[in-house]
Amino acid sequence: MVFHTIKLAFRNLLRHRRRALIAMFSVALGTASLAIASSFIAGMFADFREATIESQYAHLQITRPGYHENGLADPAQYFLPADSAGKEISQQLSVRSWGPRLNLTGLVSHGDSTLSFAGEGFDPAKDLTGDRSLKIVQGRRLTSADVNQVLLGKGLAELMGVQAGDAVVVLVDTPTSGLNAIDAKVAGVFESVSKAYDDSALLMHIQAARQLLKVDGAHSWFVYLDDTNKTAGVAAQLKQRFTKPEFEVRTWDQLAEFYRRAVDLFQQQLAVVQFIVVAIILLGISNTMMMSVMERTGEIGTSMALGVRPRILLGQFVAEGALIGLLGSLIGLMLAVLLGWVVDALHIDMPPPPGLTRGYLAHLLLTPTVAFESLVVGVGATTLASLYPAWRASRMVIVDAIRHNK
Amino acid sequence: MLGLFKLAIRNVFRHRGRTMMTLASIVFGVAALILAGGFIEDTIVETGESMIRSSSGHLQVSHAGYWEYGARSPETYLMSDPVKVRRDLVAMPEVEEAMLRLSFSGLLGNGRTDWSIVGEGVEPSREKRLASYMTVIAGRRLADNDTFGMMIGQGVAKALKLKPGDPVTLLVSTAGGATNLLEFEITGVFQTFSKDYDARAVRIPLAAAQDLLATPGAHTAVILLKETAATESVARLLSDRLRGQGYEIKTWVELNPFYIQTVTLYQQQFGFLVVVILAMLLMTVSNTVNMGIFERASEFGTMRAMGDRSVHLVKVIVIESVCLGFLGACIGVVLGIGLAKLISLVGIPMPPPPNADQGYVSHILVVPSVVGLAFVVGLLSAVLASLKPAFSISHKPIAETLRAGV
Repeated sequence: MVFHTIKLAFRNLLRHRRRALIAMFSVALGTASLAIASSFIAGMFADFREATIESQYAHLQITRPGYHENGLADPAQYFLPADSAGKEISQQLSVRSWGPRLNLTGLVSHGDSTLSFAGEGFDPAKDLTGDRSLKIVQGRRLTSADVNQVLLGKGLAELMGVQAGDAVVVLVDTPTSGLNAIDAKVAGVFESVSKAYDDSALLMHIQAARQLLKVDGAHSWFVYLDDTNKTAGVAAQLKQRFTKPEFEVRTWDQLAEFYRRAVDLFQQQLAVVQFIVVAIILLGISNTMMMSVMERTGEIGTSMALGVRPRILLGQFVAEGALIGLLGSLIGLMLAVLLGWVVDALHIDMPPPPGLTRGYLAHLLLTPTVAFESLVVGVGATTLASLYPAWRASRMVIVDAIRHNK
Repeated sequence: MLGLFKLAIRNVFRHRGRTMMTLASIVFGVAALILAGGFIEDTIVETGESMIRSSSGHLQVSHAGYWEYGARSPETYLMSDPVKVRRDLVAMPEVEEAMLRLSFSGLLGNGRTDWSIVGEGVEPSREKRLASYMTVIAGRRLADNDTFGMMIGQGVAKALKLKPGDPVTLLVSTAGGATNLLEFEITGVFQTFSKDYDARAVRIPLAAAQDLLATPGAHTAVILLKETAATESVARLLSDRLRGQGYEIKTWVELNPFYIQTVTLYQQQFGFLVVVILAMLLMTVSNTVNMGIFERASEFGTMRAMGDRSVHLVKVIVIESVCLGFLGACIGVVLGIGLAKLISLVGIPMPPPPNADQGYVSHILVVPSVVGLAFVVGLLSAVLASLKPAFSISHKPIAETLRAGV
């Protein structure tokens, strides 16, 4: 029965090829616009997400409970035990590497100029190892042996007028043992995704940081995974081993507020595009279907005179609409895929989004979810648009309809 | 020609149902463009104003080279006679207010730890006229008689767990490499449009800053204009006048790179929206126009059988579409502007942008250029859509078109 309806609908479309094609094409364009907008945003965020994780938050962070809320105001109360206490982390599946981080704030001077910095000690062997996590724009990255060398954020280096190879003095005021200073050499200058961060950031070997603060521990352990999608699973595992009141495990998406808000904002804008596309499809397709119904008044009257129930007629026209929607949406998805290839081939550089330093390469990431959503919207809107014309067709008075055009 | 128009208009009104449907698509598209464009323009204007009114002002005058090298040795880039500069500035008719600022970088301590900050010595009573986008979320604004009062950004307050009334220490390095420590009391906590700024910013009275840095000068004179639109012209005027005296001038756009990034992002999105709407309109309108024309095949056949040239037919059809497009675009413009005014009356509550904490109420501006663009898009979509079918129907064999629909 259903199959029969679809067969008839298909034949009716073939009968009015020109109209069916144009209708399909407008659905195709709508679906393609939706798919392109969503997949462009998906592509942008995939890139942005990895960059955020690798360069700022890692996949997971293990700290003392409450460190993220209160730790900055009183860092001395939130020291983790020595690294050996965390060796179980490496035994977890999917963990690529992990390393300690120690936060410190102080003054850095070179010649006459002295600026304050927000610094971090890290283990160069395990943390911030690749280009994706730490982009060096001048000089080189730290190695395990570079205990008395530091890396400066691009903004900070420019403000101080410091180049790789220059000597600086790092001064820290500790609550327990007063002012401590070390002489260090600038190994390199780095650029992260955030300009505000680069303006005050200083990175140093964890040993130097420990020496300055006169402690053994760290504030947090940064855990990197081999696949971002496994974050929740690994987090659950680690939470069982590193329990309160001693530890707290947080995932990157709990920490990356900027990322989360940017995603929300873009979702909202996508909803606007979706609304416009749906509205235009509704207007356009209902127009076409209405005309098709009016044109076929005589045919409808004949069918009814031969005993076809109004319900069947209604189903018939809705099926036609749905078929146009389905075929059109599929064409639209193909268009989106084609455009995706073109975009990848052209290597289009996009300017940096607000607040960030780096642009990105335009890329359409047509995930199954994005494709499915666009398909549902396309088919849904078209089917919806055919409801009223179909209802009109099924309510025709047989006598009038059959004599139409005579 | 006039005759053609009369004919076209009569034809448009002869097919009321279809005309209404086509009009609906055009009207919707045009109105959607006006609303989207007006919304984006409002966001851009609002972003600009929030930057100007948060802290940057419209223009800033400083010692030449201060912006590039000032952070390295702030003491060498002091304005030579700031009070005189201010007196000259305030005398200009476009200038609402001019205020002096002295910048410094240092460490703010809460007794347990330090936080690296970027501070400014300001003139509280004058700043009050500028900073309408700087919200005081706890305590109160600085007053002229707060000799050792300090206002801090929300991020600073959060990091160091400070509230109004708390004592803090401020450590800065002065000219010659010496360090200076002063105690302050928190009077209030502020929030601006930018989280990055709030995370590092503190403000103290100008006199306290001069005391701290052991200098009587100032780094910048911040200018508040009566009209944002006058920024460029005043900047040109001033840079001619002040360059000879060793000063340089920066506009708020130059001081806020974030603004350009935001504008670029929104313009890209608007561009995409325009393309989508134009393409969708083209498809829908060509669909209706096409069907309308082929439905009237016998009518056109008759015209040609009676001796009308095919050029004449093309003219009639295209002019019909022009009328349709013009009518649709006009209604769309009226509807769009009406809706924009209506929505602006109520306002659209917006969530905070990614870099901020405050949500805001958005409006829809009526932008002449966007209205023009929307009008052209509406008109063009109808005209372009009619070209192909008009050409093909007027070149079909007469006999065939005459017998169509019989």
